[in-house]
Amino acid sequence: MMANNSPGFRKALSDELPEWDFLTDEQVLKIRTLYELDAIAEDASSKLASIIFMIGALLIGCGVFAFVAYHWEEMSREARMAILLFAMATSHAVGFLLKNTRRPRLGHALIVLGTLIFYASIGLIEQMFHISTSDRGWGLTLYFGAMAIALAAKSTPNFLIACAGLFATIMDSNPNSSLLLPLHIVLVIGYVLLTRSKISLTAGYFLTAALAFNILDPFLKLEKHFFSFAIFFAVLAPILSAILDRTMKPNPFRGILTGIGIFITAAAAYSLSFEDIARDIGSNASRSPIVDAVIGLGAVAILFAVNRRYLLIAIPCAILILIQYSGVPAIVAANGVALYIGGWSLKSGIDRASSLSFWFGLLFILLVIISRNLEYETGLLMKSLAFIASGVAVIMGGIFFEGRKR
Amino acid sequence: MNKSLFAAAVLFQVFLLALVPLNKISAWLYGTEVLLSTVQIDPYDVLRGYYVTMNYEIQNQVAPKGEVFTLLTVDPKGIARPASVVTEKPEGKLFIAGKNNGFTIDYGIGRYYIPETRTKEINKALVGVRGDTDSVVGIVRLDGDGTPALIGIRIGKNEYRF
Repeated sequence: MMANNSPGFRKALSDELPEWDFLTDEQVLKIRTLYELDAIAEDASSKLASIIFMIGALLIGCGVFAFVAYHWEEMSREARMAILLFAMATSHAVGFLLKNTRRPRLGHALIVLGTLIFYASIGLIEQMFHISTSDRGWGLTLYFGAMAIALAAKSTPNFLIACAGLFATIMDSNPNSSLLLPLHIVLVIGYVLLTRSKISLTAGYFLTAALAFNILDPFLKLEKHFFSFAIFFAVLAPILSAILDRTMKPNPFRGILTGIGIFITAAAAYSLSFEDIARDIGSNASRSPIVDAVIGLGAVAILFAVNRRYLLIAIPCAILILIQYSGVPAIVAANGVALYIGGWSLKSGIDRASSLSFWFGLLFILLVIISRNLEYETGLLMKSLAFIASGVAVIMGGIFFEGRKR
Repeated sequence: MNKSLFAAAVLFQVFLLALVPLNKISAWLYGTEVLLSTVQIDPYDVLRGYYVTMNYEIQNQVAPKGEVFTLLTVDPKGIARPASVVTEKPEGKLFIAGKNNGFTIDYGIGRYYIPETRTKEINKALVGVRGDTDSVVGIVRLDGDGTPALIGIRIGKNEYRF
């Protein structure tokens, strides 16, 4: 099994290997086999083919949507429905056959098209029966239908379509079934463990947070504690990673879960750094500090207990929970936390030669500085000095990073 | 990829499609037909096409939040008017089931989808009757549980059923 299977590493290794004349031919062959270096070129062209086929499926899907929206009076309802059902079944069937033979990427695209036709069929039925969208079940229908195909075919595009359906339901009609949250969690965990898809984990995680908020809000009045709720989900991600560290070796999701935790913490710090928001949160007298402490600090305590490596997320989150009641002083601390997260991410990117961490840290720091400059009414000379100093610091950081990468 | 599992997933999609109109079927096929007075506008939905938004007279009744039943009486013009709103399902009377969301009572019949080729004709008809009372009515079938199915609209003297 590969210790590091990132495409960047494999590409760099493939380029370097011919220069290593201290290795025997047998050793070179073993390395090439272990890291599947011969498949690199094939991977790149496969990805391109997948993208092309998916775009084609999306275009056909849009055509089907327009066919439904046209509302063809000359064709009977039954005929329109029969056409769509036939197209859906055919697309799925041919997709299945191709996916198991020489054209798996085309087959996958046809399976996605089958789900898009399923979505169009929902619209057709609503049109046929004049079902008002305030009656809304289409989002959940799309969610369950697409999720079934996602699990059966291990199809991440279908999983993402399912997420889109559930997201639309959350935004429009506020689902209030308490069974939906545990069912959704089981489905997401099931799919992610089946496919090890990081993008599915990310989409599923944020959707779970949104769904949990909507369902629990009427009972726990979470709207008043939205900030603490966000911190809870920032901390939950590394907690899950720490649990997976003990059950899966190696843990393929450590990076992405840590990244999610950092991202949400950074977003929380950034939002609290605005004067209006800090005042608004601080002055809301109807909130219960006990609920905030339980939600926020409770999660931080659990994180501290499961793995102290994640102190770098736990400490900023604890500070944000504690300062949110202080009004204006919260701004100073929030800015400090935001710059700390940005700086730590920047340093982490330099230390690990990770472009993603480096650029996230750098751009986040820039965002905080620019926001402060635009938000506060400071003199133009001060703003000029701040921007120039920031620009010089960024260039110096880039030079240092480039030097380290070499 | 497991063939049986995939086939089951596709059949599940077909099953879900069958569920979509389920609560409207009995009203659509066997319901009592009534006319409901409305005021309308004409927007577009990218998936379902052009539609007429139906804002019914019966939507703006004072009612408690949640599931409600609006009792109806038919006036001399044949239009069903709201009489009262109750929270228990009535027996032996004409009523329509809805849900009060705190702003208005939603009966699930707020849109009537029209073919693209008929939009101009219908727009013209709507403009022609603008301001006239009871000039646009929804033709609705109600089943025994008060579930409504919107089967057509009448603009002036013309009926449209798509």
